[in-house]
Amino acid sequence: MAVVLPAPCLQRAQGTIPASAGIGLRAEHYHEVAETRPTVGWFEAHSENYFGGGGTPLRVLESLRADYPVSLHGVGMSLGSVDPLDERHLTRLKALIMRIEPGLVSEHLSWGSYGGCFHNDLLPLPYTEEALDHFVGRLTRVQEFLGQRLLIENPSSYLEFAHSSLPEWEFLAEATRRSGAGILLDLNNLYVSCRNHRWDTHEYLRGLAGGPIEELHLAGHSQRPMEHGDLLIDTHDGPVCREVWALYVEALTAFGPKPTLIEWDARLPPLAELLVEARTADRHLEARSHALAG
Amino acid sequence: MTQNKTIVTSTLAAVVALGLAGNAGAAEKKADGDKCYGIVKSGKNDCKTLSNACAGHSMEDGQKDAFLVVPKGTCERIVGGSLEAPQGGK
Amino acid sequence: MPSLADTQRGFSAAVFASDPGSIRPWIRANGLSPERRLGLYRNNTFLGLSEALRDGFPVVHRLVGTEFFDALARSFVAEHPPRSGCLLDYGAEFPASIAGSELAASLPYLPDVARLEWAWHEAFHAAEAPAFGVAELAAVPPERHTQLSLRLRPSVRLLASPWPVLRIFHVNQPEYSGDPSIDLDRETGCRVLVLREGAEVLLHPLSAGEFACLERLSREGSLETAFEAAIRAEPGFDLPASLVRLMGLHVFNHPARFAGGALP
Repeated sequence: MAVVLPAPCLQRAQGTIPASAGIGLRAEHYHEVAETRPTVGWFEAHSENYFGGGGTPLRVLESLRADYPVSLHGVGMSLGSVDPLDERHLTRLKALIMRIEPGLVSEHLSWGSYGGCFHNDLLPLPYTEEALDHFVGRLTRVQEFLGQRLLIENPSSYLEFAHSSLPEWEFLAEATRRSGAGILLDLNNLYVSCRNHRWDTHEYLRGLAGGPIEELHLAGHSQRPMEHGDLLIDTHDGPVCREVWALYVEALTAFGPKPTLIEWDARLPPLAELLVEARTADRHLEARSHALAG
Repeated sequence: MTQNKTIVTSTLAAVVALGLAGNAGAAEKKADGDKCYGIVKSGKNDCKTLSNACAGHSMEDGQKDAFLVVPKGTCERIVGGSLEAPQGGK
Repeated sequence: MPSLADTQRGFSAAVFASDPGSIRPWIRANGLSPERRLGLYRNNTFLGLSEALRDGFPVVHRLVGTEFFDALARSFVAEHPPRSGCLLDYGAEFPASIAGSELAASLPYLPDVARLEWAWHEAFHAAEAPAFGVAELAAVPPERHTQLSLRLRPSVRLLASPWPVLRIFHVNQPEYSGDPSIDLDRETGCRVLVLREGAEVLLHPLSAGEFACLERLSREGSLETAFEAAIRAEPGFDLPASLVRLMGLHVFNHPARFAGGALP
């Protein structure tokens, strides 16, 4: 079905991402979102899907930006890589930032390329002092180039390096402290990685106390039986599970109400189902705000 | 003016005359090509992990059986033709 | 202890070259073998990139089926890993890879179908630009016509094939309800213009003269070389009528450029 959009609009919604629930903008929902303008606090878009020069994706995003704050979430910058920074990638992101005027811009605590070959994945870093220095240097240069503070998201991971000397939360806290970046705390990733590596979720959250948490992500995952117990896979293909909702409440108590994204990428449900998840997050956010006010 | 330039001036003058005479009207109003296809193309970049990524012993290359794979799709409805390119086109 | 560079080199070798040797000792087993852990990442890369190719080449996928497509995709990913962190860029060399693949040798039209799909993909994401049509040409004083140079809009792609790939593309769309049979002994090759109009990617057949003209202009050729090429390519070619048609399809870019001078 063709997407019919109004002419580009010069008036825009204010850009700040509110401490309410947002949903990911997915191509499968372009038509419905453009037609129905659902009641939701904000949208998050995967930056690289808008790296083209024009066409439907950018039209949809620009048209939504007239009515909603938008956050840009990157997946391909390969911030932790030892490859040179990809200037073309950064130039395209900068152009997109200028075009969309996002409220937040985020990337991952990960790497994705070696020798110029990209894995199309968010790969785990060894949490060493060397990697920390490298990551902080890159992040600082990127923020300078973009003229934009970034939020850094904790990844889901399926292996740990024996030479890591810092816990992930300490690495994340230190990298953002030294670069002035913020933290996008993905509670599903936190849960998946903690289960896979037998880390303690409470210790992880305590380790970020006082840190610059600016956004939270919630998503669904899958559980796969392996030889020695289950492995959790960050599949983004279902509703947020009970344990992650519980972590969410714990995080809201620790960090206060924060913009919260419902992420869903595979086996996408109808838009209405995403909005139900968003309303659940909103109820938790309101409860936390009332508790703070009272 | 050279012969080459004549082709430009005469052609463009004819285009303006023909176009403004209304012959362009039909073409201007509606392009006569095929209609749109699959406008909503799915986005590609995302940050999920595939649910089947943990299946199987995947350090193997998976290429050794490739020559046993045969196409099974609508190409079965394309008949005739030899392996040589037919005439026409280029 | 491996450096960050050693770690990433070893990890990449495990994923792309099935060689976990150097990185394996540095991965904690913790209940699951390092090979299985690396295998998950290897699978995710290959499956994810194959999925991206299926997205970009739906007609090729439909023609050969998932199992065969995945075999083509897998060998392509191994030979041509992405060179960018943006997947919209991935797949430009897939048609050439199909052409060189022994697997697909019995489907000689398949590379050109893939080229057409890549052209569609590029047109879908190309930049916007206003069109230069008959009205804009009429506004140019005739004495400046010889200084005019026409360029194609950013979404325009041209494809010539000895195979009826436009028909193959058309009958393999999900919404096509007619008979998808094609007889290669009866149908000839084609020349195709791909361009985006608003949100829609459109495909138009071109005559030999139209194709030659646009092909010259796409390579920054002058109007006279383009017009001459058109007439050479197609005896009896009606150049003015074809240009009116092409302008009606919004092929040309506005503002048109002038040799040494501002726009009228």
